[in-house]
Amino acid sequence: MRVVRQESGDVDVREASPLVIDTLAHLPEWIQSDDPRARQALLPEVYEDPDEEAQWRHYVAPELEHLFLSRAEIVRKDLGNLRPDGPFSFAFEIPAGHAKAWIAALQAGRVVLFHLHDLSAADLEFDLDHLEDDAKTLVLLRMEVLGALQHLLLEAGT
Amino acid sequence: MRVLDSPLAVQKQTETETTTAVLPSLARPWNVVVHDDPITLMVYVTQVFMEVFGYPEPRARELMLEVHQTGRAVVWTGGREPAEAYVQKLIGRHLRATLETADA
Repeated sequence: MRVVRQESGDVDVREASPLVIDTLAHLPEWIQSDDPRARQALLPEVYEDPDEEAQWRHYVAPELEHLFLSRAEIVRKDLGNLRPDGPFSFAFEIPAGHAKAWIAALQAGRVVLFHLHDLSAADLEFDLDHLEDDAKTLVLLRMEVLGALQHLLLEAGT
Repeated sequence: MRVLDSPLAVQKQTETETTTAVLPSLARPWNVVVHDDPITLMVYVTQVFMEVFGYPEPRARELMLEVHQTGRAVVWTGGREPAEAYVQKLIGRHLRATLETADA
């Protein structure tokens, strides 16, 4: 996977493997997951005091949920312009105005996957050269994919 | 968000009590605290501190390292309303952030 920033500020994501594209395609559903673990991970407690926390949630949670939904829609929309980029890879464009939403959406995806699959810090230290063929490894690989694209977008100065 | 705006707070207390109970919490300084997690890339944390607080990169990186090495860092201190606005922005970018009174 490569990220190329155009003069316009738009970003081209190139040579994205099927795993990358499949992972990104799932990103909106992870952000919008109804699972309580996902909602709790995306909207964690802010105050120790239960009354203050309840007020905070009452006023702020709907705004944040709206923000997360808008990012999920941006990801869906940009992936709608997927194009072949070689025999086994794909490319798509992230408009300059969408880059920050993408970076935050990738973060949301990592947070949700971590909590949905009850992962630990030790799980994230896995060895890419010694992968197990199981569901947990696929989740860890998806987290790597999201982190890699996030890192590339940040490095590109988006 | 103001506590005074809450109908619940007003219903529970007389006007006088509300004044004495709520105004100190609005007036005293609040800490915005960011907590470490195993998920977030360091470069992302630095970028978020620069965007949200307008910190220059060296200061943002310094705070990021404090979070990483000690488990948490007070990244801003001040009035409750701006503190809540900052926490909203941090949580909107999926960092673990909480609020506490500065004298806690």
